[in-house]
Amino acid sequence: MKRTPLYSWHKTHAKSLVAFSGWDMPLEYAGIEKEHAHVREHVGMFDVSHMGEIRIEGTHAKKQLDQLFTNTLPKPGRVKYGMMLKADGTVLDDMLVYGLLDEAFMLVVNAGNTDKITAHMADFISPHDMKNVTTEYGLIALQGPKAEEIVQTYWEFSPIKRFQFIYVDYDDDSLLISRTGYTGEDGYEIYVPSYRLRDIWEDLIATDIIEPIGLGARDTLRFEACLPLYGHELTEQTQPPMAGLEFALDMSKSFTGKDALEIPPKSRKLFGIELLDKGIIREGDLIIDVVEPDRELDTPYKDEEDFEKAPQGYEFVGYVTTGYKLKSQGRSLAMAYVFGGELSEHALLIIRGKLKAFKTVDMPFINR
Amino acid sequence: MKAPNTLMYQESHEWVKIDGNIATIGITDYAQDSLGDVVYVELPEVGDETTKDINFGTVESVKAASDLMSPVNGTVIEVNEAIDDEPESINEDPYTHWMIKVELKEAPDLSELLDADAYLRFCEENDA
Repeated sequence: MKRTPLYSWHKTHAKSLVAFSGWDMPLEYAGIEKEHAHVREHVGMFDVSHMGEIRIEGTHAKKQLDQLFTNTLPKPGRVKYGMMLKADGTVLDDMLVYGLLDEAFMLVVNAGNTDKITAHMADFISPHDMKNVTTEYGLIALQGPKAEEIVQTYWEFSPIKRFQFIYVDYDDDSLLISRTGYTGEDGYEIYVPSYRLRDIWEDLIATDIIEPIGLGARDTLRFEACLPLYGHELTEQTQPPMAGLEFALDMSKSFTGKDALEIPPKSRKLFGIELLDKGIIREGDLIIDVVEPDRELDTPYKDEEDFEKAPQGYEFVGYVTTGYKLKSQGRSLAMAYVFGGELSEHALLIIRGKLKAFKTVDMPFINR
Repeated sequence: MKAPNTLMYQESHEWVKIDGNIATIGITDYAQDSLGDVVYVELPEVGDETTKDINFGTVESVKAASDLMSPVNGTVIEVNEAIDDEPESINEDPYTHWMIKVELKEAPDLSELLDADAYLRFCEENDA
């Protein structure tokens, strides 16, 4: 199991740790609900050093990266969200790309996909032009309405807009600070030399208003903002438009997987849903609807067997990718893929063996 | 971690209090603590049968759903409706906020239940 430089701090302060993509990470400190609310109202601090960083440099490498990345490559000082796709248009990973120099970039990929993306790029980019620098960096996210005030107090710098970054001096080191995040709040992500991570973390945490936030609340926050998580809303079975990520595709250029994309998506589409009966919708719960001979059912999410066990007159038409009941919402919500992208008024959820009524709702679940 | 001496426990982290032919059942302090914020409890209805080692409901926190296992055979005679409105009361005091009362069919088999000391030892070993 891999550990960030803050492992022993988490071990002392977190209520529980969790294995996440091969890393020992904090799950919760004060409790998921409290941490969630603190980020929405004040500012929370996350250790997200498990994220993978890969540096890419050179004229040829830039050209290849441009072909692999779905979005426009960022200019220096800018950050772009996008994905790498397989030839069939399904998602290998979603990522941020930082424009370091005109021909130098830093990719920030999901921890569980770092090796996969490195291997994928190795087919196109020379090993001399590419380096996995994950362990060189510690990564702190400061998220919430007070994040701006905090970073400005610690490191005075001229204001940057969302998806921009700057460097600030920190003693003899340099920190990269971007106005990015994964909570639906304003916030910053701070890339620090890994050996300085603990100093900076302890320095910041001494500020009354900053509370540590674990991966539990990181997930409920991104869920409430309907930000996709790889392995859930994004997989090698789904294409970006199915998850509503058209904004991360630069259709004016060529990129791998582009020609295979269904635009608009037909075979499946992500919906926000709200439970009308009592209970909680969880990942893996299935949606059924009355049998519709013309409906094209995509590759079943679960075993074929599961899909044959729908109640008489019904067929399985979808599956839940993430679901929670949050105090901040007072309702049980979920994101779910629906095959064919349409539901009738007869559609039902199966939750722990019981049939439950639901309705579709707008995403995101919070307005920011 | 609290576990009152007046109750009996099972390894699936329910407590039971036997009073004549009535068993009152809830979840333990250890259970509520490991679950985290409880947001929903699904309980049976009055008149439903409970069977030893078979689940009679579900307790769900933000992060997980967990089955409630019955320690006894019997018929549900009362359900604590208050926790439906305030599931977080389970976190506050899991021993006051019982879940169901069951009328026993026969004298219960208590041999597999643990007393407070044995249960606390079991939890410690579980954490180790």
